[in-house]
Amino acid sequence: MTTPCSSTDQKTALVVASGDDVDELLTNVLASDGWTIYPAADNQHALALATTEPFDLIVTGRKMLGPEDVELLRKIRSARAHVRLIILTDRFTPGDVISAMREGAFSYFSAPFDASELAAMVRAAMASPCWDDGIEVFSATPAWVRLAARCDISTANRLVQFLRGVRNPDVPEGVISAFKEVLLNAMEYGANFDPSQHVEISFIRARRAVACRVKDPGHGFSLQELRHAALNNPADDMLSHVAVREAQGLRPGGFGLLLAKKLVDELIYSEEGNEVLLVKYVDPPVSQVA
Amino acid sequence: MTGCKSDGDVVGLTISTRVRDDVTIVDLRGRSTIGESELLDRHLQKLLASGARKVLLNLTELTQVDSSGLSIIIATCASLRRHGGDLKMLCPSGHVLEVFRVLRLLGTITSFDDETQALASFRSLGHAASSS
Repeated sequence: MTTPCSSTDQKTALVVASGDDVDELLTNVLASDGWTIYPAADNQHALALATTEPFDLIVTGRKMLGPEDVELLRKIRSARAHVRLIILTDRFTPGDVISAMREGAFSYFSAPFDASELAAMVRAAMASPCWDDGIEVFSATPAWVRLAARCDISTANRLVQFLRGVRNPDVPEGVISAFKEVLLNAMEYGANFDPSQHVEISFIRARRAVACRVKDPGHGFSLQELRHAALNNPADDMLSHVAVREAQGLRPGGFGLLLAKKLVDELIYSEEGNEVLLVKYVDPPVSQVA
Repeated sequence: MTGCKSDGDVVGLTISTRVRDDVTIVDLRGRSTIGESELLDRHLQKLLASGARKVLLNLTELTQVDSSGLSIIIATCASLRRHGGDLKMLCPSGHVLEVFRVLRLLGTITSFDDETQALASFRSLGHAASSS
């Protein structure tokens, strides 16, 4: 039997020591919002504390291995299913990231990572009043991950961070940026950011290409009819869609699909327009060149 | 590299404003991506409402931008131009510069590497564009 979310006003976080500037960053972010911080020296210490205290958030230390953090997550969530746990690690494999997703980690940061990205993710975890996962992994190998994601911005940001970990170093960061653009587009225009809806996602790594497929629950659209999107701007007027959006009372926007298209080699929509495939060609890893 | 890359601030986006002559310089620090871009939108809307017509966006310390942040910059630029003003950029670099480059927007919004030159470029608009 699992315990429910903490109902007390005083929020508590358990932080496993990383032993560097990350500890200070986490302390600053958590303390600025009045959270009480409990330090732990290592995962064994963290597990002992977590079995007696209902922490709202746990952040692991960078010194532990990825599989050790996933094991900690598994043990804690078996007793406290709603705990939000962010894994930080210096040593990991894409398989570790997938395991963390399957076990319901809130997020996963493998070095090197951006301090502001981590701070933003910690804030997102702090802002979740009673968290459940929102990401369901249907099947996953390092070469092919298939999952569904709840249609809200926080889940989108978490998923993008997970995929950064699954991505091999030879895959450009631009692929992740392009994926984020089409994912948010699918969640907004295909589901109006309705958290009861989900988008389906496949992330596939082939020898010479990486591909992302995103399918939203909406009725689709026609690319040619999107006069409010920069994708259909004439080459000599990159601002023409801005006037269309203003006339239609739309907020500033319209660059997502164009940016995604420019960051990958192919952007292909299904006939209905509610399914999109991104393809980026890459050089095969050195280990496979023979 | 195995460390934690810090931009010196754990806040998503910080915005500060200063005025030189009749140009409003908006210093951005951090990221203008979905979730943070709304702050930039509100800030720029207030500037326009207060009569600012010559805006220089200092992107020196902006580390990331996505379509949400980009769209706000572009929409503000278009609005300023309709009112006889303009928006220009100072020192976009790294990922931010790459986004503007791949979208071929550097030909649409003028960018400078030097603040003095950027400020001087607004003189051609004259004082009439200083406020509504």
